[in-house]
Amino acid sequence: MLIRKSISDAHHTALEEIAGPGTWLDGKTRNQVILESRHSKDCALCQSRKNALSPYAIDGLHDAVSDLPTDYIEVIHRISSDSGRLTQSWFNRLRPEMPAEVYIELLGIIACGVIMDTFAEGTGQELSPPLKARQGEPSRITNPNVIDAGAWLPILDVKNVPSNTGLPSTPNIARALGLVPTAIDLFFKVMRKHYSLSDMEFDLSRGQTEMLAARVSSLNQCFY
Amino acid sequence: MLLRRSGDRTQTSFNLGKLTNTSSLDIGIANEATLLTLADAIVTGSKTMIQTARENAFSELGEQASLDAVAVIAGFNGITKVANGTGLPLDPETHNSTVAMRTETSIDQYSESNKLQTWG
Repeated sequence: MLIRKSISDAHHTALEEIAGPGTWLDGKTRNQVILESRHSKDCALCQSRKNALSPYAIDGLHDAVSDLPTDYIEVIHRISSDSGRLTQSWFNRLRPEMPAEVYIELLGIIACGVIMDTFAEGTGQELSPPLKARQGEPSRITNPNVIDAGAWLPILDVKNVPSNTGLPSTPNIARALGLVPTAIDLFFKVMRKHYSLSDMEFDLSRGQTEMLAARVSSLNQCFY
Repeated sequence: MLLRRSGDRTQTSFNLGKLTNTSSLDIGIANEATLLTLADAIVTGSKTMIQTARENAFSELGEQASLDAVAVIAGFNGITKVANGTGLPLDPETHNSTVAMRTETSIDQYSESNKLQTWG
């Protein structure tokens, strides 16, 4: 199968990084995030909520495959299975027990894992197992360079200028994980190999690419 | 939605409503039915649906273009989790320049305020 080396290399690098200590989570926990995210498809509660008119009308416990805290599992399963119906009220209920930085690190790993797993499923390949977790303490370095821009959490503070794409030089999506800069690095190390505003080597026209992007965004009920 | 900008650049008008199922008219992109079926199958379908859609894409677009399509689909299935999971607002420039497009496609139904109103 003609899978581009740039993509398979990026996925392998991401799995290596996930298996090591992050900024707020250790390698074992980060690997468990990948496994829990995958398992959300088989979770009865997630399926009930997904099929419900309102996911907030269904209570219960998630089927977990790890010993992660229950609030981590709620975040991982909900974002993986039904992110389009998340609201700020849901997010606020998670706090203050879950530090914003931990939430962001979880989110970055979930999103990275979703890309890798969706690609594997779409190409008919087996899902890659997480790599062996490496020992080590999270750095716990906070990033003060963030700003309130109207999202649920502060995002990266940057000086923006218009670019030739008509978008700001650093659009909000590149700033969203700003509380944990290593999460930005991890996520875009993978994402950049799947999509770029310019210099893509894909055998698709720009129109075909943007049509797919827009359709998937719509299926995910994504306003951004 | 950068498809609109892409159309502006090539002076092509796309029917964006089909992307959000608010119109049944074709969008105006080559191989759109096959590509949209592939995206729908991968994001919401079963293994069998994905396999069928992938084989149709291989047959119509060729293997490399089909795998590239899967790559884009996978990328956006992930990046939307970041946007949805942070309640990310549009960039101000985008917000101001997409009012008509958001109306045409009913994308405003996905806005934070609408979600809060619907689900609390």
